[in-house]
Amino acid sequence: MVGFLRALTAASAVPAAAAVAAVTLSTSSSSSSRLRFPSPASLPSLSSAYAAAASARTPNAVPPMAAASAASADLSATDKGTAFPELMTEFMVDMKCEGCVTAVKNKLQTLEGIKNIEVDLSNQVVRVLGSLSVKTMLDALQQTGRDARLIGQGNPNDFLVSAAVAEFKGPVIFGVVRLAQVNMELARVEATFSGLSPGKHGWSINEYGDLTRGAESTGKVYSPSDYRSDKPLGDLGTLEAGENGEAQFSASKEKLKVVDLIGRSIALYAAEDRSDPGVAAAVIARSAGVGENYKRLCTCDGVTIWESS
Amino acid sequence: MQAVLAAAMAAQTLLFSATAPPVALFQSPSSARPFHSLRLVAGPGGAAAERALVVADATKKAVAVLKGTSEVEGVVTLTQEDEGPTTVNVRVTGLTPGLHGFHLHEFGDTTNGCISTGAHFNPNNMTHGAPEDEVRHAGDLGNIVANAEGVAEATIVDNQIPLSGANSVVGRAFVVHELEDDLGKGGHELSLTTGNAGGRLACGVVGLTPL
Repeated sequence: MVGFLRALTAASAVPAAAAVAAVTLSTSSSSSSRLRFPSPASLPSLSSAYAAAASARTPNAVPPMAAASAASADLSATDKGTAFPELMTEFMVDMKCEGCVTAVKNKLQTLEGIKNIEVDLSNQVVRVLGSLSVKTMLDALQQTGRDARLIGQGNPNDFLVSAAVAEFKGPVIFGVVRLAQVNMELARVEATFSGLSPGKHGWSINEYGDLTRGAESTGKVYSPSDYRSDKPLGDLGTLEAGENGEAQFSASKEKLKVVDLIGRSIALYAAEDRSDPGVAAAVIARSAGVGENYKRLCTCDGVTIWESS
Repeated sequence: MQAVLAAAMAAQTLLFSATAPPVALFQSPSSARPFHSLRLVAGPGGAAAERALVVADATKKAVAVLKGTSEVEGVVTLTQEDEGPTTVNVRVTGLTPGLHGFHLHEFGDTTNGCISTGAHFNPNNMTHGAPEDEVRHAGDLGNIVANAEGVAEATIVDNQIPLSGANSVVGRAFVVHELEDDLGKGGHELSLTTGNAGGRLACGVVGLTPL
């Protein structure tokens, strides 16, 4: 029930989307498979763990993220994430004293869209519950003059696999795509790229994570057999790179389950319609959930997290 | 029964050999690990269990393309029949001749280098060891040996690295190290955690591949 309220408050935070949500709520679960908000009909299927986690939070209004996500991504209409759902994101921040803790907290509290901040000084860990993009939070943390790295994402104790990452390692195109499960019906997708040719590029989640022939050996666009839509689930639409070759994307996507994407890939194409063999691809890898990796030092070579690249 | 399970889980041989007891071939490793049920309960409606059933009678395949900052690169292919052991074919080039530690890490995330990959894949909370030891990380695959041309080729058959289920290695990362893995027996302070195998030369995420 709390989740239901959260869906409503999330919807009401974005007036333009409220009408869509209202239709969704009044016409039951048989509406489109690309719902903007978790369908109320899906809530009874949520695990008790999720229900418990949800009830531990208050259904305060989620600040609208429409402006931020629209500005940072060229989303196709069907995938437009109108409200960024909230999620726990965990950073390691180079903090050495209580003063640092205060500075970090004060900085984060100036941002809209953050619901809760926990700081664990002994582990140098900052946990943020909120609806902001990773980039916004990292920028804010680094503005305090401290190095910060994302170390975990997801709803703790909620999903078997809550977070995944695909890293494009060049030599021309570099990028990081993060996928995080928000609830049973919704996953967040955030990406940053550099080295792209300016203009529009198609991109997609493809069924295989086989990079032996680059993007060409990643198969076709991923779509679960029970997914009914005119467009495959793995179709991520279009990325638009600026003159500097950089592109950013953040959105939430319905029906995407991170656990089903592990070992598949994300492929980038030269053309918007993906008619070419693809210019780069990366395997979707497991990444740490909240509290799963407090490693600060690589014991193999002695490199610390602040020195890692 | 515990002893049989332990032996089965530890059964690991280089190249196909008949030395592994037949029971090892049919032993589902996850059934012997009760603590995983905790995570399954917390998971999304037992989806993992359903998927495991669906793929139970299939050949599963996966591949990792290894790349490093240096000249080191390679391809690792993995094949598993039903719930049997996983066969790992390794070919890595650009190495210095000799032994190089070869491990699977918990996460495939290399955005913060070796740190974001987590530790060696270790679902049973063991210390570091040799592939044939009872006490080892599941991700401890020992050493690969590079010849005079710097090429290492190996076929590893192992029972602890399935391609499906809760302990699936898909989405995790293979790492080839600079130095020899002492297999937990070097007496160095790192022997029981990493095998003291030095820095990473190349790594790659295990991805799904067509059958």
